[in-house]
Amino acid sequence: MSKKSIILLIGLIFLVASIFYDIKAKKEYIKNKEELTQEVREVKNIIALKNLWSAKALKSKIKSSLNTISNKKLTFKRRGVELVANNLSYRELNHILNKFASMPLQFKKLDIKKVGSNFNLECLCEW
Amino acid sequence: MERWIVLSLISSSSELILLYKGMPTPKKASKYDIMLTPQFYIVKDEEIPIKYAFQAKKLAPSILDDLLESNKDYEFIVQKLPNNKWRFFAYAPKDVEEFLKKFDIKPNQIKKIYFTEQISNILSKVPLSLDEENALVLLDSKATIIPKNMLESAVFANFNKKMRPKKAFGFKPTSTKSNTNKIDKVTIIVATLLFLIGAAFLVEAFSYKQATKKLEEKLIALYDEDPSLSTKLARNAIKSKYEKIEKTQRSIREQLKNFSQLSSKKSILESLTLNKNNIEATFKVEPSEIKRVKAITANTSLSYKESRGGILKIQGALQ
Repeated sequence: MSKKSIILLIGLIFLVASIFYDIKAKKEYIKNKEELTQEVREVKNIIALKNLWSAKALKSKIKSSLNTISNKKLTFKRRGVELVANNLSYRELNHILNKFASMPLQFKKLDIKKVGSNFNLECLCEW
Repeated sequence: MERWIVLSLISSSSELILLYKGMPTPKKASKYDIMLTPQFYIVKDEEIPIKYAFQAKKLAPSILDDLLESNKDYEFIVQKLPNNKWRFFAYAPKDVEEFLKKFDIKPNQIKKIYFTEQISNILSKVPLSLDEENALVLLDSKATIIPKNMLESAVFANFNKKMRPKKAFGFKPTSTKSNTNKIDKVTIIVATLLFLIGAAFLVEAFSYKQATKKLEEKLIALYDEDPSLSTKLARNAIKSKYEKIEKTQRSIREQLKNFSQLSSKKSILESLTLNKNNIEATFKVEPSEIKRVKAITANTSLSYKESRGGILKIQGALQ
């Protein structure tokens, strides 16, 4: 085989090998991209959910939102709040429920009873 | 005696053979050095006032032109003689190769060549016997094959390896003379193009690898943020836990919003309880308001049960 043929053959082998390597890399990239993007999306979603429903420092937020309610009616647990409030007006009841609903609290117990023209509320929330 | 026509006393690993038509089959060897007889080459002495061999070699084709066959490719060799004289040899490698083919000797086995003029010192003393009929003699300082019966002498020398001249020439096989072995510009351009295109594909392939690496790094950064998510099992458990919370808590809020729509001065909430799978509420509704309350429940996911005295028990299922 002449030098000329050898050089051209090497060039051709290099080209073909590069094309195959490129095709393989592209296939791997497309496959990995799909998998990794999906995984990133999933992890981000989990982190967002976790951050939302495991929010810390809610205690002060609850206290400030319920400054119209006596502290005696509020009991804070390690990771939650238990509220027992009597003689609430409809407006007060609405205020408390709206505030709690707007915060990432998990309602575990909710009991409202009308006594006369006012309401008694028992609520247990966790975070 | 010419300076360069000296018998070699140095042994060589190649088999030295004298090449002439009608020669016997040579001994088997891996390499051969051949001495050409005038049957295989053309020789001419010319006085030319030039100094260097490469200049003489350039002139060789024109000097030997009238002696050469036009349909053959020749290889030219020059030798400097005293008194500004040059000896020009021309041989056709193809002729040599084809002749040796019948002895199963391949062109790449031929290493060096010699010309019989190089042993003129021997030929001037005694003719060299070729076969029963012919002998190699020196006529006018040129080796010539003539019939033995034309010679007066009955004494002949036989060719042997001790007759190897000191000066040897490289044999150029036709395969190396052909265009196929010349790395011409076209080959270089084509090869360069092939390499460049190949390199472009490689660059693209590496960019894909880099892009994959970046995605992996992004994921690793997320795992660094929360290592508990790095295993699929833990991730699925956490995901399942928080998705359930998300679903239930959003549903609770949705139903509370629905209940708040029902509440008015004529539709008063009596009680509300959060159960495991639903929220139950009791409303005392004035007759004029019942239609509106029912219409709202119909538009939402709430269901109701009417009792006496305008009491509506409304239930909202949780997801």
